Amino acid sequence: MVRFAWRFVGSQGRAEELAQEIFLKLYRSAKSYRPSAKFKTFLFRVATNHCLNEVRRGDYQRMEPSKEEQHDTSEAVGQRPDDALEGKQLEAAVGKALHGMSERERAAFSMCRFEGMAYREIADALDASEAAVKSLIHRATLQVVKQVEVLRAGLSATGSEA
Amino acid sequence: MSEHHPIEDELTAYIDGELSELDLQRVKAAIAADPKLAALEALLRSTITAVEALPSPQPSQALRRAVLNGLDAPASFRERLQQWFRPSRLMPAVGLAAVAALVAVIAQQGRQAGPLHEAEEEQLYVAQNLDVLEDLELAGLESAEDLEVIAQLDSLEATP
Repeated sequence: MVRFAWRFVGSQGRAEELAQEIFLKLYRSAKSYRPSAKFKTFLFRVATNHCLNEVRRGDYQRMEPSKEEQHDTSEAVGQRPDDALEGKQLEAAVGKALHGMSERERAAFSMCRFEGMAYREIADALDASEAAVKSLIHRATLQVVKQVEVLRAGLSATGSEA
Repeated sequence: MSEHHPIEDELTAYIDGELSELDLQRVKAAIAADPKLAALEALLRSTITAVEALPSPQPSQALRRAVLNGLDAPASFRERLQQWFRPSRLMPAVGLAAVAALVAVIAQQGRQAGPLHEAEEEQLYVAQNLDVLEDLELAGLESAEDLEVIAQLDSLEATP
């Protein structure tokens, strides 16, 4: 849940607060859960709504992780400095792409790429058709590809200048 | 990515293994026949692989403790109010008020017609609407201060 929220707000501290709020909300509204809905779907519907409401408040214009968090992230990417650099830049490109996505694209993309959810599950969580989810994920993935290409082009230009 | 191939929109679902067997074969054939499509598929695939391998933040030790502490703490009054004012709860409450009015009218008529088992009637009424009555109690509708908050709920919501 922290991971999912982090993709919306770009800050681990706030993502943890959101995760906490989501768990408490679930606990307090446990009566409204019907076993007819898969719990994971129910959870992600609550989480998506909660995270989107948070983002709509407008406090999160910047999706890229902080410098400190970039450092933490890069350490986990690989042992060699080159690997770490690549992971850090890719993370920044993904952050930029996420920022440019519509709310539903962002939610669908995060559930698919980072939570490993199937299109059917995402469709249920977003109350959308599978065809709509397919389109959302494709468009979102193209935005990431575009940002990665921009990143690569920038690196090539820097490399040729040097 | 100059000309849009109709199969392009299927590529991400193809890589994600989300196509039907028929569509899968159709996309496979298109990729084999079109180098540009094959290049885009390779680009999408490598990007997806890299993105999915990105590390994610791990929850801190404090989070579990904070959640457990939160479970023990009672919900704030504002949270309880927000919960109570959801349409799924508000509508039954409005219905309850209508039923209460109806019961009062019937009881009044009954008093005129003959002896009434008022306590029994009231008890059945409470039993039938227990959930809603619990919600009314939770929302603190007996307090003048709470009623004032309810009246100002919209402006309170707008306050950061």
